[in-house]
Amino acid sequence: MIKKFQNIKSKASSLSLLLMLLAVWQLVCSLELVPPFLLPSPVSVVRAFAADFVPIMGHAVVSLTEAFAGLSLGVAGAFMLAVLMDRSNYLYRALYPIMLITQTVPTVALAPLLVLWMGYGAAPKIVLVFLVCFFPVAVGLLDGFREADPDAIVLLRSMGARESQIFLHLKLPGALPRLFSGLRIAVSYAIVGAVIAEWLGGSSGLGVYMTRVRKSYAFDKMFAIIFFVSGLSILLMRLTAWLEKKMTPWARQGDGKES
Amino acid sequence: MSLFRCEQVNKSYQGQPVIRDITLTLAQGELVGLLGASGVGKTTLMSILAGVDRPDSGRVLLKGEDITGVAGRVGYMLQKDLLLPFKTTLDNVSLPLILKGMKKSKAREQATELMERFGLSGSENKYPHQLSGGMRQRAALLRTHFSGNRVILLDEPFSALDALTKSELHRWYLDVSAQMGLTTLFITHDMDEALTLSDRIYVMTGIPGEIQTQLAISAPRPRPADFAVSQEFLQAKRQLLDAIGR
Repeated sequence: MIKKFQNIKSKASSLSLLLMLLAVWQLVCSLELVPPFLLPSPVSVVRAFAADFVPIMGHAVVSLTEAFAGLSLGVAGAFMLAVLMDRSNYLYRALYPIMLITQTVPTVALAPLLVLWMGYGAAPKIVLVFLVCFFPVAVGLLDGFREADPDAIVLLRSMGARESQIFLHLKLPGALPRLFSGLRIAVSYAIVGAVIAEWLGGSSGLGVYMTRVRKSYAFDKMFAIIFFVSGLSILLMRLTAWLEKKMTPWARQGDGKES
Repeated sequence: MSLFRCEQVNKSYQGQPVIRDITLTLAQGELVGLLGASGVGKTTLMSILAGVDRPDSGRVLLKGEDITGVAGRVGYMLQKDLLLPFKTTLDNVSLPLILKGMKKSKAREQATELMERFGLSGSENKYPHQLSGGMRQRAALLRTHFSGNRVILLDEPFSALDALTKSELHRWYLDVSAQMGLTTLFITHDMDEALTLSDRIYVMTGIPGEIQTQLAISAPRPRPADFAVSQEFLQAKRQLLDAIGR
């Protein structure tokens, strides 16, 4: 109860700060302290968004499709690899260090290469999203599987459980919170990954729209699309949090006491 | 005839013998204590009896059938209650039935029937972290019951509980095991607990661990409140002290 109240209070204070910043921004523009072509006012940003609403939605559908395709493939691939690495100690020892090293490669820097290889279609975008989503989910799942209490495994064995049953009843549900913390990161990367890949070429998508408005120096539209993309990411993260709540009901029930 | 027994069980880890020539027997309905200091291999023995681990030599028999290295035939409860945090009490308790291939609805039904006798009615849909220590232990015991053929192996089942909850659970367990015809072998390092609960006590000592002696307590269960100051109790305790100190 108290926690909920504090939550509302903290939300209210960050909201009021946000409104204040917007007001200052609008004031700076109205007083023409900054030339309007460099910094469009919030009102003109909203107007630009409204004016281009239909094309933006069209581009959003393209980007979201790429993001979801890459994300689903990434999660599916990560799941399979994590299961294999959990079953085989050899694979775990061989692959885990390599997986960590691959994270020093700036995935986004691979985007031009992917475009050169795969052309201007959806393929390089989906592959880039796949690459950025794969790692956080795979590591989250793998750590979750590995965290299963060895005594609990002995207990299930003593009940005559097969390996597949130990996985289903112990390892998988135990790894869900870890999976979701990986997934929260992955969904925010997914949108950004798709947009960045689109910068480098293509005929539609939010990234393509961004490059076009940048080339025509339409600052109001650029601001509008930046806000829209971050809004989409927030929405997807919220969706993931909601899904997590649904799928891990034990984590929210009771008095919040950890045990 | 004995219901459950092990014969000449030996086990080494990395060349170090842990237990040597362990033979013990449980008759139907008996409550038998296994007393010993830490490090004498009690838990190793238990995991062999439960079929999770294989002995180097020797065998384990249930109703005359060789079940050496076969899990899922007797109930085994480890030192921690190990209730799975992401399953409700009812799902935790009915897990052994589901693992044996029973349908979920039927397993839940069977478990629900016994929830009351185990003092768990009303907590079916609660998660383990919402239960008290005593309730968690009873839930773990009910789950153990479902995983075995009325033969139950308990590894220090009551050691983590406070004194009051412990004696309450003692009385309750004696009651339930008599009602349900359970046969129990339990590990303890607490002499008073062994003397309060057991029909017989095996004393395990040494490295590698061996059965040093066994002792029968003839007073009927449940024992009267003043049993702990009775002549028999004190005599038996002296014998246990001698056996362990030897």
